[in-house]
Amino acid sequence: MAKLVKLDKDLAINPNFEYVEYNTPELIYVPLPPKKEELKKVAHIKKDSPFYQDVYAPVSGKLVGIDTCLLPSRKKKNCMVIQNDYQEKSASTKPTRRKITGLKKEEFLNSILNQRLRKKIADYQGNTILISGIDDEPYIANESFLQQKKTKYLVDTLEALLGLYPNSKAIIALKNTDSKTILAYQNILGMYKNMEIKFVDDLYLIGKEPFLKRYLRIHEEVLYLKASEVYELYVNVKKNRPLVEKYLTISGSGITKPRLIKTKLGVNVAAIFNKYYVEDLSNCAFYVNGLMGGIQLDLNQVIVTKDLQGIMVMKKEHRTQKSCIKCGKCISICPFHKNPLMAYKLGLKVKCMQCGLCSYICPSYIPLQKYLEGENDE
Amino acid sequence: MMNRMHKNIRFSLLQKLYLAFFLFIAFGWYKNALVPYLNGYYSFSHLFYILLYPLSGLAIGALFDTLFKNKMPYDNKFYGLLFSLIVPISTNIFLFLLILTLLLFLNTLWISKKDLDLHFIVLGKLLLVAFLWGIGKYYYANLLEESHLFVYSYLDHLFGHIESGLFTSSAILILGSFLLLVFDPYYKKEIPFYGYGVYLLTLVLFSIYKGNMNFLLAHMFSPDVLFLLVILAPLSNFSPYSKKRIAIYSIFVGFLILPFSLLTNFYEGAYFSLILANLLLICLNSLQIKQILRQIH
Repeated sequence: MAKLVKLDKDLAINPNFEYVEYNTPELIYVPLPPKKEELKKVAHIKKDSPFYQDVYAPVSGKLVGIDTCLLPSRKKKNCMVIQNDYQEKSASTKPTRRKITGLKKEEFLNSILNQRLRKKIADYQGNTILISGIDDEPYIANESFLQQKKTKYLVDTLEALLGLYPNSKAIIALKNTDSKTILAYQNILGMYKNMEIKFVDDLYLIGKEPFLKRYLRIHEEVLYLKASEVYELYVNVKKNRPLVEKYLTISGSGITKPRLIKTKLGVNVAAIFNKYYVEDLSNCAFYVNGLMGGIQLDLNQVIVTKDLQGIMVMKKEHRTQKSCIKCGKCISICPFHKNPLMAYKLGLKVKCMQCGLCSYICPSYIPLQKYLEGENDE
Repeated sequence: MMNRMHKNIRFSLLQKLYLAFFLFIAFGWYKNALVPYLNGYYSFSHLFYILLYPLSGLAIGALFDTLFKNKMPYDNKFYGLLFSLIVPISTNIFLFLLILTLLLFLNTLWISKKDLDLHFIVLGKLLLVAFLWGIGKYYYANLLEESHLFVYSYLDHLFGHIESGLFTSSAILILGSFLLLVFDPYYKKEIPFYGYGVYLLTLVLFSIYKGNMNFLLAHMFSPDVLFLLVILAPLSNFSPYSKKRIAIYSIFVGFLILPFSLLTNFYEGAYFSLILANLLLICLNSLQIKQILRQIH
């Protein structure tokens, strides 16, 4: 693996966020379950209700139709449109747990509604839990903000997780530039002896498991979780309900006020923009999930999902793409030494993690990341 | 539309190269025009005539860029100027313009389109030299140097008082420009490092073998070799891009400079070495591409 790089800052982007909560959307879009006929049985949807398999609604309301939505991954999907009745009627009958520590492993696992997380925790056999509290994408601060707001809940969940594995320890990795989050942990972490904070440099991709492990010189198998996943565990286990809300960053050079927005899953991103951004954004490009690994999308049909980290609103700039000068920087910067040049010149489909470093470094402004996906057309 | 994040250090290598070229031209003008003029070897108009080479090189390059709507970062202006630096002083301006025009046609219509790595500047210089040699007009010395009135020391050679290309005689300026370029992220600094290291090693061994250390002193700062290794060889369009290949390429070039220089002379020996390495690189690249395509199909 190549050396990680420190990204250059874009001075046109304001790094100070305003925190807002958007809890009252009119419409919610929930991706359609595989068997549509089940839907006919649904008359009125209750909040947190698993009305089909593990599909939950973040609000209570009425099913008013089906519409095509765009997921952050650029996939189009049919979604159920739920009209919010603002009643917040919950279907959950299970009471909130008083304590989540001391639970038996089986009980803990059964409470986890996210199948992937449940499997990950069930399969892990070691004794080191590595928490990444790092936002890799520049100007996206979801993980950092979540940790500042929910420090106690995260630490409690971590303590409960440590109880599942004998003689285990937890390492919380934070960027050494993230002073507010560091302070939030330091205020309470003295009470938990099996947890420690490790500071890492502000390098791109350091929050990803293989890079973080290498940086921290951890050689054994770890249970790697992001802070947002720990919070999801907390909501599942403590409150007995699914995670139906998330933090979303809206930032970029095209807006004057970057915001961190707590919103429900399934909200149309355009609705958020209509509420919070009155300025003219017609001369801006929208990048979903960041400027490095994200993609440019038209926001009209994009909905908030767990995968959506943020929207970067960037002023359109005209940069002429030039011919490749064969400097080889794209190969030397690639964390896995892939050859984007081969993909670009020969149209080969090279699979990669889409970190965007090749496009970032290219002096000829060639969008190499696109070619790595195997998309030769603009 | 692409305005995602980009490294703030824009492609400034070209500007640094232009700055270095300006210094080379200034010194070349001083050595090949001003000093001989002050000593009465050239007329006053020669002071301007010598500048016609870089200026016309730039103009022809700009014309090509405009006509063919060039999108290359290394544009034809750059190549026009670069070619004017390395020509022998005996080159007639019309011959220079003719060969440059042919080279730029070659670059625009074939090399750039086919994405070849052919170092047409080096090739052009060798063609020009062959032509000059054929018509009996092959020499690098200006009239003052031809008069042999001065005996230059090795230190004088280092500072540029030596026969060389029109604007490439100052080893000190070339080394200075290397210091300017070496910190640029897009400059392939490994090529001059490895290339010169290997060249120096072969030179030392050969001098020891011959028992003549003056040979080492005379050629260790040969401006033609230094210019080739610092400016021409690392041009990214004509050199490999993977670290392993860069190392092999530069060692290959460095190793062959001395044998070719002994076979021909120290003005063009390095150019032969580079063009051979360049042709091998083209063959290797096409083989690799064929192999990849065969694997796919």
